[in-house]
Amino acid sequence: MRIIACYKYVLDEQDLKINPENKTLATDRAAWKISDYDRNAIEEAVRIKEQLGATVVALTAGPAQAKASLKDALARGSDEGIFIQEDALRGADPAVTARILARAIEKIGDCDLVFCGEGASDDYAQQVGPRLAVLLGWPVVTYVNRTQLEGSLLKAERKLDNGMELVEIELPTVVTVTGDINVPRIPSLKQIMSAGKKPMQTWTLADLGITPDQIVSNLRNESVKGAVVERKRQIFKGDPVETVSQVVAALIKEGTI
Amino acid sequence: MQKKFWVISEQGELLAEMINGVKLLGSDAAVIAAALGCERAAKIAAGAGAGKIYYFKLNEGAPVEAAYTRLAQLIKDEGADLVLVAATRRGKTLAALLAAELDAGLASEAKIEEFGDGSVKTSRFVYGGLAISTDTFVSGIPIVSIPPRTWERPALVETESPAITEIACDPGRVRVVGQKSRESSTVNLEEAEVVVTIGRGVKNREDLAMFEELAGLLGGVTACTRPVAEEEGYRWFPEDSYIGISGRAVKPKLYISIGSSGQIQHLAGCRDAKVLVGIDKNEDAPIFESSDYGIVGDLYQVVPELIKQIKAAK
Ligand SMILES: Cc1cc2nc3c(=O)[nH]c(=O)nc-3n(C[C@H](O)[C@H](O)[C@H](O)COP(=O)(O)OP(=O)(O)OC[C@H]3O[C@@H](n4cnc5c(N)ncnc54)[C@H](O)[C@@H]3O)c2cc1C
Ligand SMILES: Nc1ncnc2c1ncn2[C@@H]1O[C@H](COP(=O)(O)O)[C@@H](O)[C@H]1O
Repeated sequence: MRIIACYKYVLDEQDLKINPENKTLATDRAAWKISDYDRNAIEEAVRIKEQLGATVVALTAGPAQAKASLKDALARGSDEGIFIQEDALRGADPAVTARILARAIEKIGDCDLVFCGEGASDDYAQQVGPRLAVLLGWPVVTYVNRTQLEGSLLKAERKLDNGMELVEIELPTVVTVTGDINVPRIPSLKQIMSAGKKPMQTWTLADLGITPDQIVSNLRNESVKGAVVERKRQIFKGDPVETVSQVVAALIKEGTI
Repeated sequence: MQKKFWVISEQGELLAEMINGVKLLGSDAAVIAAALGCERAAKIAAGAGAGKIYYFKLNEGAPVEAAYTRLAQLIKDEGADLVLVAATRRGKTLAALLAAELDAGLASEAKIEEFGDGSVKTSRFVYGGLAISTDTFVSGIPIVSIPPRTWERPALVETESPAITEIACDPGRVRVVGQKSRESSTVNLEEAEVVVTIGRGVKNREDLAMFEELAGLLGGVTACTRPVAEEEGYRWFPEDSYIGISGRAVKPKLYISIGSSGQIQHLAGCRDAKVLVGIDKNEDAPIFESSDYGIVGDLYQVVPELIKQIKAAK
């Protein structure tokens, strides 16, 4: 069995700062990370491998710096890493991403199960999983917080707005996972060291037979602007009786309480 | 030519809300409603003023999303200038399936900023709510998923005219074999004037009484961060009562955050609070960057003191 875990390498939103003059995002100091729920996607694939035996391929597409993520994905238990390098993918439409990933999955071939996160931490579009399924001609099960594989039958629990839905599906299928499906392992030093020895490949769009006209989006981005609310930031510390009385006084003065 | 707007949902209330919203967009477009798997929703859409109504009848054991292939076909046949899908989890999945099937763009959980001559401009949060991305559809059918409560919800009326057309769906390959409904929040968070929110800094479930007391004193309600609703070991609140980008949005006069670090995904849900008070023992917690008033201290000392002093002030 071959399982593919799709992950996006994203800027850590906690490191992003907003330029006060023009509200643009300052990204130069921000670290990159494997998107939060994609760590759950990798973990779920690796857990199935550990229980039932499988090969886990970690797959990501992105600009050049995303290559550095492969080692992390492999340290988390994946067996192989595939990176599709394309600079135009920075800030790309999930429709375009899905088109590229679908081709890559077809090229990898012989896959039974594709895991994605419910949504990426940066755009949280929640589109790539379902779109991939349509392009592959597969079904999809989204927002899954429990999986159980019996032969080629996948039993899954979906977490929806008003409760759980239990579903069954024959492989192959795409599955998108929630953040509470599992607790992603933190790679040990040994796992980190051995990750460098696992097979990694870098493909280009040309390797996938994708031409530039095939990655054109239906949407044009106009701007990405900071949206943080300015607050007073009067911070009190020290004796609780004192700090509380200052805050209570301020709230009374404002007419808030 | 008159424009065609589609509104799509499995819930009647959300169809009614979107039909209302389309009117607010100021367009005289014809509204076509697709009610997925729920006949009552179709009648509500009729009552809310849709011009044409389709009821997608699901096969036994098929999830709502299985409607997407027939829906895509119908949209292709009839044409569409704008397709709105209510952004429940099912709706978001359906919207993405539909968009892929129609080779169309999709703005997820977005707001419509402009609807002009063939151009649709949307805005949506990215980076957990830290920033807003504005995008314009330049080709294909524009599809937008709309967060519930974007627009005023009209009083619901069920009618049977105009006539409701029933559509048979493909069964799809996913089989629904069970359902577990869950406890849902009975608190009207959206209208609350005071919201007291707790995060993982709270140690025990029994401590909740203290926060209830504080909220009660201020005439408010309690809520929580996502992990407190969802994570193993917590699950102290119904899952639909956490505040944040993937949860509820509130706009109280006073928001008190206790034992929550104040990550952007959480703060996105209380950006409209008039006054924000943060309480955390870690003075470097991001909550203090986003507080009007902050208290650095152990919540087990600060909160009882707060209760005491508010009582005294009354
Ligand atoms: C795509 C995505 C969407 C998300 N959506 C949401 C969302 O909608 N809502 C949401 O809430 N989260 C959301 N999250 C999760 C979010 O990023 C944070 O992980 C979460 O909000 C943290 O919850 P917390 O503040 O309760 O816990 P923590 O970050 O662990 O904070 C606990 C705080 O308690 C303090 N503390 C501990 N003990 C004490 C004490 N005795 N006294 C005082 N303070 C104490 C600590 O110093 C710490 O700052 C999302 C994440 C992702 C990736
Ligand atoms: N560039 C990418 N490379 C690989 N997987 C991706 C990429 N972008 C998104 N995904 C996957 O698709 C999921 C949903 O992404 P999105 O639709 O952008 O919210 C993510 O959680 C990943 O599993």
